[in-house]
Amino acid sequence: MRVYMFHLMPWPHLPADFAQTHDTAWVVCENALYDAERGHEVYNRYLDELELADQLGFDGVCVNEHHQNAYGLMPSPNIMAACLARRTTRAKLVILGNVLTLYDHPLRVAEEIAMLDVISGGRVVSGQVVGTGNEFFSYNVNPTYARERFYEAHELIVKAWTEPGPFPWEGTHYRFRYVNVWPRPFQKPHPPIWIPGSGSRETIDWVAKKRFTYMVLPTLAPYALRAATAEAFRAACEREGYTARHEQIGWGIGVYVAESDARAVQEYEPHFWYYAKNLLRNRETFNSPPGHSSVQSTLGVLAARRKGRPGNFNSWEEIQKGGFVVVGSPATVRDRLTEIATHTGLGTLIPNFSVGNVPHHLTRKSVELFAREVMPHLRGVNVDPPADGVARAGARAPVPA
Amino acid sequence: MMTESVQDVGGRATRIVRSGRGRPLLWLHDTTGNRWTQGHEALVRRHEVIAPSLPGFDDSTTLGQIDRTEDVGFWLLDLWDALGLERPVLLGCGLGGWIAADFAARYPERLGRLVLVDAYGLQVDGALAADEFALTPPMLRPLVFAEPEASLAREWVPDAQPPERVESALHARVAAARLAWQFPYCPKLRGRLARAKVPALILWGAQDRLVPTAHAHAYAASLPDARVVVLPGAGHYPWLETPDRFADEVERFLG
Repeated sequence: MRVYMFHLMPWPHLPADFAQTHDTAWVVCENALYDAERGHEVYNRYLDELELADQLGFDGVCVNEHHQNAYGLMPSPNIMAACLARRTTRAKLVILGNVLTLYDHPLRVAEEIAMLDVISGGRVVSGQVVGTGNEFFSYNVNPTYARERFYEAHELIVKAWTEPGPFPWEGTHYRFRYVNVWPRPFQKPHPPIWIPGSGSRETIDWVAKKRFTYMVLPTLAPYALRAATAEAFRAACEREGYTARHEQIGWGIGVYVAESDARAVQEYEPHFWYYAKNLLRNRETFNSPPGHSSVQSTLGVLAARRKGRPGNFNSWEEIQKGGFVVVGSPATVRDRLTEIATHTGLGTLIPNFSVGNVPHHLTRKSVELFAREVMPHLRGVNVDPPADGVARAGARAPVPA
Repeated sequence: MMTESVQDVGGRATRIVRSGRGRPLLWLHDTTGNRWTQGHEALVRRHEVIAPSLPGFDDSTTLGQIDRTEDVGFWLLDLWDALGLERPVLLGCGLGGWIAADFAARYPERLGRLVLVDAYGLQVDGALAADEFALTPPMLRPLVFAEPEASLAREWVPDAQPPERVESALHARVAAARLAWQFPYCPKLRGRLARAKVPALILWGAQDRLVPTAHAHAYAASLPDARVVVLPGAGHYPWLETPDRFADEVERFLG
């Protein structure tokens, strides 16, 4: 398997009574809580941590896009990737992902990803997402068009990367008289595409059809629920007439490594609760605006959550028992990740070490322990056979819709 | 006696509920969808109340290219043809009121009278409608009901929909958001209302904190022949909270 360090870049300085005084960390969470001087430190610290991952031999580093919130401070992941492109040398730069639906100009995404790919000499992975429900509130995009806009923007971007321009695009949501993107991407036919998804059937089927990498979300959910999602993806690939490659199954998960199991929990837990109680705090309405998923898909997700997702996280035992995160000594983390990999077939591991308000020295220690004592053992697990004439990580010629 | 049928309206299967005898009154529902209420029932004494489901509300997968009130207006023209309507009373609530006002500005000759109830549709400085899609049911109830703790409020804006309504409520919410997402108005409508040369009644719940009463007065100021009646004891749904008083005012206006 390959290992890509993910960073959420959370805001670590929310007031202690945040959960008592706020019903959401999103959309309407007042930006008076943001402090730019502390923000300067926070951004640079987080970028240092991703650069460290490059130095320690991670296969890649991952950034993502959220807007108007305390949960993740990267409204523009492409800016973060640009910072990293010149300060890293070999790690893949995984933008996980660009929220295609938010832009009336998806060509901007095509341009920026191509720029990053050329600057970095072909190190970019293009994650593409519909976006959380929150983003539709923050950017005033009609959520009932979420899926249509996503698929159309995706097709437009891939065509802009792969077909000679100029050509016209006459779509439902986007019209461009002249599609003629300069620069063209470094990787041929285009950078690998990863699609995160929360188990909705429509996304799973589409990613399977496209043979892209599917990253299982939500990151914080019971293991059984996520394993079922991975299984559904593999089944969808079988229905498409092929067996999923390991690298097509992406697994984002909270990971923390310390000298012993007890110490790991002791160091991790308070920062986990900052994340779970503050940063994940949200209104159901912001999470699920109308039409963001189809009605049938929403009914399915509601039913699955009733079975598998506790309404509230209250005890560490619950988190541990549900397999929400992987926390412990190097041996424990190694064994558990190997077990998960064996069970799910995952070949794209996306650990997130930066939980909540965990301080830099602990993140650094955890990442270093992981790189030294865990990662080498995972390398030999779930290795794909070489794909003939096909770039790795899903970079295949797009199948026409 | 109440009847319910599904009719072809310009190629769109449309559920239509009707009851009563007398002058036809076409009722365009609000974002909660096409549900027969006490307000409808109170009007059937003197009118044939015709309540069609707006496009997509019963099945949001059929929305197709509908995404503005103008699109619904073309469907209304088809409805006029399908039902053989001649200058009926057009009554619209909330979102339906916006659609009715837009239709009246374009095709006033097709209407007998116009009734707008707590209608969306206008941009009013300093009185932006609250965001019904952002608010949870407990946050929404005090904005839309004069008595938010009453069982009626919990029935219409429940914390969780009862199982038999989960799916239909989701469809209605999608269809509503298609037309009314974030800014449920058209900035151009106010300037067009001068063309709506048809007697109009603007009915508003005194305690509508979703669409403030400033909108009622803005409608009255822009329409050529309109008067405002503000109903005490009602929020955004006067036909639910004060159905008899609501019906009395409509009947007095219609004569």
